[in-house]
Amino acid sequence: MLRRFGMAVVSTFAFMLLLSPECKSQSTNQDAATLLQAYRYAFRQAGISPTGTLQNLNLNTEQQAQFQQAASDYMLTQTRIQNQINTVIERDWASHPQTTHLTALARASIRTIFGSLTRNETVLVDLIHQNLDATTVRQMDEAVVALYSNEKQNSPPSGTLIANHRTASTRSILRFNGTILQESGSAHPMVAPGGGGNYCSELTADEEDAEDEECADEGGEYDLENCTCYDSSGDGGGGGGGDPTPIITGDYHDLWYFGNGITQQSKGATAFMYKVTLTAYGDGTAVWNIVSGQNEITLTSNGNTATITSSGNSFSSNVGDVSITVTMNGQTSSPWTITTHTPYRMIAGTHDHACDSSWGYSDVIHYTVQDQLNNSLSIYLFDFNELFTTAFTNVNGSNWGTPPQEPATNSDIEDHITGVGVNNSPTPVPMPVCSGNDTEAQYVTQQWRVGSLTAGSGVLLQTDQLARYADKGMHNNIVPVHQ
Amino acid sequence: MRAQFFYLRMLGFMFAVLLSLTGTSDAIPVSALNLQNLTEKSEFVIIGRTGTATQVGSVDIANGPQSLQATVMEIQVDVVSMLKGTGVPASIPVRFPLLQPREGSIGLDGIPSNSIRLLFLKLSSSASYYEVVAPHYPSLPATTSLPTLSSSPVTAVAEVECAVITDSQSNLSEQLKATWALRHVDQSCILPTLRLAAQTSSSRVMQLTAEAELLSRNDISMLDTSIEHITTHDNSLPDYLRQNLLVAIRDGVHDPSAVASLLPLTQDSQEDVRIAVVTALKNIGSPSCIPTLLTSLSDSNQEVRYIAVTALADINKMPQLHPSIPEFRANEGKYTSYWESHKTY
Repeated sequence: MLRRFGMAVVSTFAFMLLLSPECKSQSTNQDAATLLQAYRYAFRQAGISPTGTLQNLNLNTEQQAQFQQAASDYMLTQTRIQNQINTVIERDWASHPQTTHLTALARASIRTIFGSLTRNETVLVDLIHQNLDATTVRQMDEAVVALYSNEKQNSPPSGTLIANHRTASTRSILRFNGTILQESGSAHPMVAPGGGGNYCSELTADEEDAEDEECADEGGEYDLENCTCYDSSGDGGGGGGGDPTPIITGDYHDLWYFGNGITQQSKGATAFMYKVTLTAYGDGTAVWNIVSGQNEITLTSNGNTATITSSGNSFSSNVGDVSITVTMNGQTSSPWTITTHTPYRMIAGTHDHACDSSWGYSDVIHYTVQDQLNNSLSIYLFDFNELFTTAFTNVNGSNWGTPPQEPATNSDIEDHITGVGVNNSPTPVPMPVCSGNDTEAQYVTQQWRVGSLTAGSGVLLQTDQLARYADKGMHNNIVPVHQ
Repeated sequence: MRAQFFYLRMLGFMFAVLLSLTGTSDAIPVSALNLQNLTEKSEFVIIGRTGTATQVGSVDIANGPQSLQATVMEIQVDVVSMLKGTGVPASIPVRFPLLQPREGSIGLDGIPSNSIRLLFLKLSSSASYYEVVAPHYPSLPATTSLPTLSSSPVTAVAEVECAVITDSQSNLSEQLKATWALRHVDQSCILPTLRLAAQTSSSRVMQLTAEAELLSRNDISMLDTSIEHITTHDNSLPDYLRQNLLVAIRDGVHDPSAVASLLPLTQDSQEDVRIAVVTALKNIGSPSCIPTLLTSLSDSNQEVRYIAVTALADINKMPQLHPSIPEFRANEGKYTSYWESHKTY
């Protein structure tokens, strides 16, 4: 599989050649791997300094628009993919009931697939060339490569940067005293190869060959021990001469808010990130800047470290819309992007209704929880609770007692509703039955919150009226918090 | 003296039960049933014939920050078949908690008396009785009409539940509970069993439930039948069955070959139908959905328009055009107008 993806880079460019015979001359003159690296660098630079980058590329207005769109797509796609990778590898593999049983082989396969996802950037390079004439393609390629070459001529940053590695995919990473850093100019750190276990040892011989081949294509040497492609040229993505461009490292790109003062959930829940810690590496004093998304976060600076928490007031309108940079000795880092999330609404799911010899009936009403970006929380385990805000009101002569309010931890919200015990004394009125008697027995106003097992704590999502009938349980008069 | 001894024994018993329940207390708030986890946590999985349950004590069960009082019940079980574990006597005492007061809405179903059940057990610390591994799911329906079971306990457990679904001796409640118990597992017996139930069950409730479960597993073999059930308002059927079919289409269908059947429903007069179908088109994510999604941008329902916008952004790999829900509500025109002006995209 790795060989196939390794060849995908080449095939993308081969496909590009087929698109237009005129493209052939320029593409054959350009080493595909270098071109890809150059575009990757240019895309990221465009994210940091759009105007400056576009000026350097000497593009006309239409070309600039096309380049800018591709760069934006690239950054956002990378952010989204990386967020997904982080979510699955860093958190859910350890806790989700459907992933805890994955075999080592399955985990290795998933990591391989993730690696392939990060290579989607080749498609963007392809796209940016489409609909452009050969001359324009050549000019743009040359401008991008020139921009990149200029960067490469600069010396790597000083300090204790001990090595420069590249993963077997087309992404680059830096190792800083053993910590995985993001590439200079990159907004997104690569997940540590073999994080939680060296997956390199799980590669087949064919896969190792493919890694070697792909690495060699990029001018590197594959390091099986560290499972990385070592950049033998040693000139990788370092910063400029003199004052180096600072680098931000961090643990996560997603930040969650589950209510005021809530910084953890029960041990059965997914380990959601309530804070992100960033560290700046470079020369001089770190000055942290919130480039965008000021309303969404609180940044607490402590020298070279910054702690980011959700403001609790505003949340991401788009993926990665919080952007943070650090400036050291006048040099500004590439941005570290964050997406802030909060549970936003409950979407009605299935209603299971069955007869029960003890309670008359046994109903389960399901809801899926979504965050404000319409992402389902069903891939996580989260705490939730119900709160009865009024006393139960019995109607139609009912003598039913009051059930307790309960919290739970789950991947969706499930409300289990039954009748009272059919053998209760005194005899229940109305008698719980499986079907055929829709007499209402009692109702209560009920609130649903996500993020805590404590009744009334967490993010309020819905108010409804829990109604118990002789033959079923229902949620009536549903009022979402966000209409 | 005798009374003191009795109280000491009772105290010891309650302490033992409390300890055993405390050991699984992290599982108590989790109400979703995962057959694989439950099977793996169990020392013994048996099919047994239950006697009559009697109260033998009481205990407080921690449930999150609160404590709920439970009655400890004991039931004698004659072992019919072992799916996991060895060395279990032919007849064993099994203890399980049943919450008090008996007002329902609790989530502990207990173990029905005088029935064939699949039980998930461990030996008590005193080795004098067996106790259930998960108080919320002490047992599941079972049958003695079984095929040759797999040697893998998880597969065998699924096969038992599959057999319950198609067993004419099982009642509807048992068949439904067996169907729901299989939700979070993927075993080879499940799809054929659900297809058979959808086509041949004598109960329409079971038929439609099986259809919904198939759709939720992205099996569209019964999709056209399900669509007929959704669009034909049959007053003899409870509303929730129609809703379950819509939820299953909305959340479960990802197969591009479903598009042709789904497209007409984007013009359905019911909003919930349009929302479910446009969400399914989004999940399918095929370029062939784009013309229909563009049409849905002018739907009268804002949720339909929002799903269409996010679907178009996802299919075209333009995440910057995938807004949050509040962002869309505040600036809807920005997003719909983009796609309106890029209809040839």
